[in-house]
Amino acid sequence: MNASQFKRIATRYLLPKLPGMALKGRLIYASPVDQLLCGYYFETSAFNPSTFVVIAFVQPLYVPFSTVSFTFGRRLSGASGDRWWDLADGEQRVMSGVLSDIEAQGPPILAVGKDPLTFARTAPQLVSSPLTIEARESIGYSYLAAGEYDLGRGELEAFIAEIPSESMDIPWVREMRERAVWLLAHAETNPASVATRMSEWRDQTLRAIKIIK
Amino acid sequence: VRALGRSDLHTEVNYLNGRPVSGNTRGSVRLDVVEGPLDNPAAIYDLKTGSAQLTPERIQQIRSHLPIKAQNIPILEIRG
Repeated sequence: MNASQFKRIATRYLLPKLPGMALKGRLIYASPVDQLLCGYYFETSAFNPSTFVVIAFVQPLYVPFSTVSFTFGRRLSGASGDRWWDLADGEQRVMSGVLSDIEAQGPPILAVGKDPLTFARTAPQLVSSPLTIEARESIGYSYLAAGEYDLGRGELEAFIAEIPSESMDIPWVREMRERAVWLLAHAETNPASVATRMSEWRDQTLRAIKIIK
Repeated sequence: VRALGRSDLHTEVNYLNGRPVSGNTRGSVRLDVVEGPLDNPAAIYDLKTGSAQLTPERIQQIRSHLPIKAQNIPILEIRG
């Protein structure tokens, strides 16, 4: 399923039934976008281009990242795990099933992205327990974005403490830690600078994923 | 793998810098099978055919993109 084919079937079968959603590439997302990206990504198989799986996800944009990410998301599933669809089984039938899955499984996931405070409080239900280091980072940022500085500092302190020393050889891990250290220092002394920086990171992520706010 | 019907096995998963991402993400690693939750996988299975092998360099590349707590999980070759 190439991008133009997806655009055609999404426009025909999905967007009319999903008010408030917009289309970008293989992504259908809640529009307008503010601080969190909430949507459905259609992942095509590399082995069979007519086959795809739908991922419902929420992404806090103020955590800088270069692309859409599914840490806070799930592949929509059937009784036996991820549900892969094949357009060869009939476009209308397949897209009807896709829409049913989206309507049944998607809203509770996307509701987590209502705003940063909702995300901070409810995102743990979308990820493993105990929290991964990456999840703790996003929850910490979200408390800061919501103005809950004490809670944000607590999460980010735990995030930094959990990073194993051997992982610090990896550049992206070091960058994550350095960002958190900066936020911790400024959340204490200059919260306005934290809000400004996180707004810049949100715009940076939006540019990276080519969604105009 | 899909025919096994196991809800803890996920096929065709990409990771970049600790996060699951889409399959066409530049610089990401594409994994044939992931066992466990995608945000915190428990094992990786790489399907190989013919003379292809899972090399130490490939294993290191995969580990460098997995979520931090999962960077020491088993990465296993499966022969097809």
